[in-house]
Amino acid sequence: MAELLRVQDLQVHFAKRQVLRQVSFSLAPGETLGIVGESGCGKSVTALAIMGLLSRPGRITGGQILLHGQDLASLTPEERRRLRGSSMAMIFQEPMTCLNPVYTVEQQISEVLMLHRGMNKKTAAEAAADYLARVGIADPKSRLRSYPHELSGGMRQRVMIAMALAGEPELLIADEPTTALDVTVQAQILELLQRLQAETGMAMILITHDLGLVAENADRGVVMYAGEVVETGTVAELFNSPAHPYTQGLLNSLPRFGEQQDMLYSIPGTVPRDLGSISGCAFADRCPQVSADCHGPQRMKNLSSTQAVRCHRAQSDSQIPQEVQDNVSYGRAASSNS
Amino acid sequence: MLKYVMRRILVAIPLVLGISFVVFGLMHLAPGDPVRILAGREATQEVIDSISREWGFDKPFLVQYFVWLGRALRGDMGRSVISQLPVSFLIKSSLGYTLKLNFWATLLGLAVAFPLGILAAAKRQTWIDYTASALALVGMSMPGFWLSLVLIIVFAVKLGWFPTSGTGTWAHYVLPAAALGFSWAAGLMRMVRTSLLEVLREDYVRTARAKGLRERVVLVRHALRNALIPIITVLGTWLAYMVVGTVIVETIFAWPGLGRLLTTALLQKDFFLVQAIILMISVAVVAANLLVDIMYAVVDPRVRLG
Ligand SMILES: Nc1ncnc2c1ncn2[C@@H]1O[C@H](COP(=O)(O)OP(=O)(O)OP(=O)(O)O)[C@@H](O)[C@H]1O
Ligand SMILES: [Mg+2]
Repeated sequence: MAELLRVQDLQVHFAKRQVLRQVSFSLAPGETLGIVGESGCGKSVTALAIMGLLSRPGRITGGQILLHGQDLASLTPEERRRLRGSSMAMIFQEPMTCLNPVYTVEQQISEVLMLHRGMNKKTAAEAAADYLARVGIADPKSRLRSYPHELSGGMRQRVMIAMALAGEPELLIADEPTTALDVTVQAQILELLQRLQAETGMAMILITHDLGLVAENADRGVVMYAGEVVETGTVAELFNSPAHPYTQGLLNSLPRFGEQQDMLYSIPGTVPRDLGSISGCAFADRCPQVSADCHGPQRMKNLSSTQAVRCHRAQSDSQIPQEVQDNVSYGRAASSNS
Repeated sequence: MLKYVMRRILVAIPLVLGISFVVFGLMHLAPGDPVRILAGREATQEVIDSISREWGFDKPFLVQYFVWLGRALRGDMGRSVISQLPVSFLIKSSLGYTLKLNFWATLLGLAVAFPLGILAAAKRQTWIDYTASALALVGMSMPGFWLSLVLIIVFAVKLGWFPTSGTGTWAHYVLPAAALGFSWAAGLMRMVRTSLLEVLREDYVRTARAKGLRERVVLVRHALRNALIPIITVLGTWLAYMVVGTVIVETIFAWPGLGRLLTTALLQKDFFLVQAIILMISVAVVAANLLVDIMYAVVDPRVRLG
């Protein structure tokens, strides 16, 4: 399958502080890629870098982002701008603050339709109503006249999704789209995203700190830690044969059926803040399996054609079964083949 | 929206009445017997008594107030002690000049403050921003009368480009309008810049950029509209400065407006004239604040509910 997006050794600095060190992954058309990691590991920065939305003093200091094989750094800012909202769209964590409070829903959706689809005001208004209906908003005609403050958080996120869809993107980046919402609404929004993805065939990057969401919604996953990718693989691989101790830790901290919430395991320690001073594995000081070799440079190692890990111990562990086991209980994971 | 405007107007009416009462009360508390001032120094007791009766000065304070209010509502605000002309005539003939001056000064102020403020915010921490902000700081620390004098010395005395007094041609407007306009443009420019910078950090601005909108559209349509909200809130308080500024500038440039009329009237203890002008100014400030409230609702849909 042709590649839609490839991120290669991406590095980002905010002024002098390095925030992304080595982020690499790729995405096929129509695929869903989950990006997981604890707070502060660089998930949002990665997404903003892809969109070309890093704000000062943040800037890309190394690596490449390729869309259909074309290096985005080679585009002019104007060409870059035209990709936003049309080729790639993004929805954010905070639906409460992401819509402009002084414009109606119609104005905010129509804007995209007029900009990228060349519609006039009238056809845009009609199309905007259609999009509202598609994202499951009842009575779309009258909702078009609503202002954001008249809508609930879930509704606002639906409007954000409608706005993102309006440009007919090939890639939708959803940065923790449900974190700020009630649990029941969370499930509805994720279901909606899956349905829309099936309808439109767009690819999606789903950013979350919940590995469970990745299992239920994604084909493949990228595990990030301290500004770098520490493991990638299909959802089945990540769940059945996690090779990085960090991935294993994340898995262990997932709530299991029948287990009490207060018994939840959590990885001890915190994410290091000063990434510049780290030469070896950033996870070493929290790793239960730490050894002397951890303090040397760590390279990505392929364990299969789809799984790779940044851990020197993985070599000896690579005997773990590569086949997808039949007893996986995680949603689409078992049927995933991309 | 209409309901909101109606309610604002209804609130403004008792406010205006209250102000008229305070103005009237203050004039009566001021030292000096108004009847004696009105009658002039050499008036006979007879004249004093007749004036006293005509204006109800022999009645209790409240009755006096209502007599005065009743006359004022019919447009009769007494006569000038000095010129004997009706106060309403004097005000009418100078009000136009003041409004014209303030109109051009406001336009000039807005035309300077908004583009510069937006530019400074958009190019923050570049030499453009530093220059604009330095200019604003200089402007803000310059008192109105001093700016007026500097303008006169440079552009009238040294360069001879513009006249220093009179109202005949557009050239007459340049210096007083600049003096009045720039003195508040500096503060407004800084306000536009800070408010815009604040808004540019908002999530919805990032959303606007994520849509692929041009930076100019993001700045003006999405950011500026929101940045206006805090700016409008302080516009109301600036109006007071405008009034003070008008009095100073009109006096310096011998501009035949309300401000100069007021200073002359004050110096000549022209009782009714002073009373009427102060009332006019107060009502104008209330009206301007009403306008600000309405503007506020036009810009921010969340206000219209309340
Ligand atoms: N505008 C900024 N200026 C300076 N540092 C920033 C900025 N934005 C992000 N960072 C830094 O970059 C690092 C990664 O942040 P990022 O927002 O990508 O984390 P995240 O993985 O999305 O976390 P979360 O789960 O909390 O959203 C953090 O250490 C953060 O402090
Ligand atoms: Mg984030």
